[in-house]
Amino acid sequence: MTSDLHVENVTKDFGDVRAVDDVSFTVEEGKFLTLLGPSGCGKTTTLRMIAGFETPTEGQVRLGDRDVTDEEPYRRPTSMVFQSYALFPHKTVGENVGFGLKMREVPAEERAERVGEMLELVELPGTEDRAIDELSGGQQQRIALARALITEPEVLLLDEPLGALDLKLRKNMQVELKNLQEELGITFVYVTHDQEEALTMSDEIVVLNDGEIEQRGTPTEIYENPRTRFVADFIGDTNLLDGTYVRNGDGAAVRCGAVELPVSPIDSIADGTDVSVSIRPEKIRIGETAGGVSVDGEVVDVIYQGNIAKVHVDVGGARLVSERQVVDSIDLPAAGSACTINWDREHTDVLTG
Amino acid sequence: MSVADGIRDRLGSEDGPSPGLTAATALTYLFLYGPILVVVLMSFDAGRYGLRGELTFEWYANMAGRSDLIDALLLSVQIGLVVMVVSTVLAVVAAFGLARFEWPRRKGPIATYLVFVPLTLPIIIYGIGLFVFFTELGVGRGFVPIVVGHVMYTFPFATLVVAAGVIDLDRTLEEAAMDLGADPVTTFREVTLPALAPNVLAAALFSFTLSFDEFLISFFVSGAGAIPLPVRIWGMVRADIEPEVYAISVVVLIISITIAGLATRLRR
Amino acid sequence: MSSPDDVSTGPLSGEPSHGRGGVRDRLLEWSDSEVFKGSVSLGPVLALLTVFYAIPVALLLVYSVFAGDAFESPLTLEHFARFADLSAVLSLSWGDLPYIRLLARSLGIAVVVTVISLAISYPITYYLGQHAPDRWKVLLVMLVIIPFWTSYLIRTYAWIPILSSNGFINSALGFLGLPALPLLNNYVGTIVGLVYVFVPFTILPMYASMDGLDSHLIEAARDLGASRWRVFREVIFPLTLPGALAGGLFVFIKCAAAYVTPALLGGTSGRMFAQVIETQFGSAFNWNFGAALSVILVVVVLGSLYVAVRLGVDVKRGRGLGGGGL
Repeated sequence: MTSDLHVENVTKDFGDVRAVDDVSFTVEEGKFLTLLGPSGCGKTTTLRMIAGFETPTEGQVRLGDRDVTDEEPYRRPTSMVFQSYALFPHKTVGENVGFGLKMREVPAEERAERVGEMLELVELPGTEDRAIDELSGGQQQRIALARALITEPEVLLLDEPLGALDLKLRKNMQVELKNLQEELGITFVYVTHDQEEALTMSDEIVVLNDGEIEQRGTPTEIYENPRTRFVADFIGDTNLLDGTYVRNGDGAAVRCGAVELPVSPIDSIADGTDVSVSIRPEKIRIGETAGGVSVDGEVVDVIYQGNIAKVHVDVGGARLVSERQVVDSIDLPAAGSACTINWDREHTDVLTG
Repeated sequence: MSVADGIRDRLGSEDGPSPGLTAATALTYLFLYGPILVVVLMSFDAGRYGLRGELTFEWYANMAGRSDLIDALLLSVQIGLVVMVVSTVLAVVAAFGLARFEWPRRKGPIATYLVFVPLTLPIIIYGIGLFVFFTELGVGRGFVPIVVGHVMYTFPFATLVVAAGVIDLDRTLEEAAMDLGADPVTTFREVTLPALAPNVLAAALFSFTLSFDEFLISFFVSGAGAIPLPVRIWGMVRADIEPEVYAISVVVLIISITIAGLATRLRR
Repeated sequence: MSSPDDVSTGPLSGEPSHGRGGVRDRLLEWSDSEVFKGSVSLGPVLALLTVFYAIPVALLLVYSVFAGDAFESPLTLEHFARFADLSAVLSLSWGDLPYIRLLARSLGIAVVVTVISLAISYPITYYLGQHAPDRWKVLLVMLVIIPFWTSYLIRTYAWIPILSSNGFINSALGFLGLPALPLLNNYVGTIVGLVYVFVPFTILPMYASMDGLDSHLIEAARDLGASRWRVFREVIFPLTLPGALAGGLFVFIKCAAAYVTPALLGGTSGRMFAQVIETQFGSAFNWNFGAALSVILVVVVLGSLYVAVRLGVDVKRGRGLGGGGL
């Protein structure tokens, strides 16, 4: 029997406020799924419904064949890593990590042994007798992880667990967490508002906005083919232009003011529909004309950022940003010079939502 | 204002407090502790009607031999312990009710009724009211009325101290415990109560010391068989100060300062 | 637990299975709800407080309107008339209005004590909030709080050997060749004792305000050319006023009802209103009149609170810090 996690048509109301609106997704056993969205999008509420801290107003949460919608949190085979870590301040590191086993009435001896193993796994061996407040933020984070993992949960829930760490530590922990997840083969459901974190770690991403799912897919799908304006804008930097979808014979284009951008025909969109297009800055080349879409414009601004530079180009009143690696800063175009920009047609994403 | 004044003023603020401010602060501490030191001094001084300047332990020896004082002290400790237990239990229950759970209607008036009114109304009014109440009931004066009065009197303080802890308590700690398999009862025992322990202990200590030092309520509801120490001390200083009162006062001060100090530290 | 069979017999037996299940479900749900937990935790405490606090106090209100035993003697307002000395007022022969004058004097003393307490509190709280070295601060604040929680009876009578005619102060004055001052058994004794006992009520909330005061504001004012006095008037005073008002209010209402201090230190000229109340129960045995005077004292206290709240005093700042059995 597999224990895939199914979230089915789940809705949660807090009084008059609908925090989560008809959300469904499945996480296959052993996969890393991220719920990504801005604060207030319902991602934490969704996670808390999986953990059992909130009961859905409508819908079901299932683990394999087992309906856990109304099951108390202490009976569910899920474990949570809290944003604040929620380590018990009055207990030692060892007592914290061993808490779940104590609740399951595992004998003290075995408990000590498994706590030891767990602390080794998170690379803090021998810290059993330390007090929680003696540990650094990063160490506390590892202890919180060890405490959640020791009960061998079917699903590990992580609520912005790296949010309190500084940037460098966070980047290291992202990689470590992902490795750990692959090593243990446990299902991870990870909540974050950090799109980069989501792209780095996830097998699959569910983008939430205003309690609803905007898009779900692999990191590549989400980044390369955003389906809504919200997703394109939220994940990474992008150029967003508003326009009208125009069908002409076999071809199609999006007319944005004076510029017409050729796109692949999309049957589901009617001629004359208002749409947006998204073109990622790094897809836009400057000074090449071979193939793809080429547009003439004028450089209005060049922003140098060290390894990359952002070139702002005015094309018939619209502004497009091209991002390029800086090999030699002498190669950068000058503001005010005329230029041609160019990108592959499949990198123009037509967005209807 | 001249430029020179401005510079001097600014330099002054860099230097920290002015001598005047420091002196005023020191004098205030002298004001707060001077009378307490006087009691200690008098308890070791041989003068019966004023300071004589001779060291003596006579008053302590006399005090130890006076069964009325020792009995009153023991009774006050006994009352304090009973009040401490009852008041703390009630305070924990009420604090959860006020700070966490819901009430069918608005909770503001209840908090006012439970905590603010008893803290605000004159104690003498409550003491008299309680005296009339127990007289009407035919209970009269004694141990039970004192305990009841002191519980009502210490309860708002204890509740405020515990409620502050409940409000500050990180609820994710309890969620984490449940998530790891602890049922609600276990969660309360293993996580909630230990996390609140400093506040509960502080509330207990405050309750004890408030009861131990309470005079006005006891004054009205204590009777021949049950006279707590403050009422006994009152009798001694009202008539004509007997020096033994300084000795027993030092004992009281040591007990209550120790407990108040502990409680104040815990509450932080 | 009901088997499917049970469910099917429900409608047959004529019982509305819907309703039964509904009521039980609702009861179960309710017993798990936050409202239920709130009712169970607050209900008994409220009941205890009502029986042992509210009713005793209300009993005084009852006594104040009966001629003798409550509910057994005729209703009357004579006790309140006696307080107001109504016969003297009505006959336009202004009597000496003993009770009203005593109340007025008590309130006057309370005002004086409040003002002195505030004046004492400014320097120490400014020092603690803005200048105290961090490692001493906790200890220094604790030193202010601790006397608050110790016997006010002892701390009050301690002034007797200090203020008496052959006490510490007068001995020192005599040593300097100065004449002795009457400090005990008059209003001076009452005021000194009350300030001593109640000054923490103003120190603690004002310390909270001073501690929360951003020192950059003071530096900015000085930088802009304000003298020390102007800094106090323009920055420190307005920003610490809420704490001062709340603390002052509590000193005032506690003083208005003071009994122990005037009884031990005040003599005749330092006599206060609560003492005459005690007399009615302790020696005059006129419970009804004593109850009427109690009601008047409560009205004064609650009235002051009400007026202060209407004037915008944030009473919560002064609450909870109170201790010391007052």
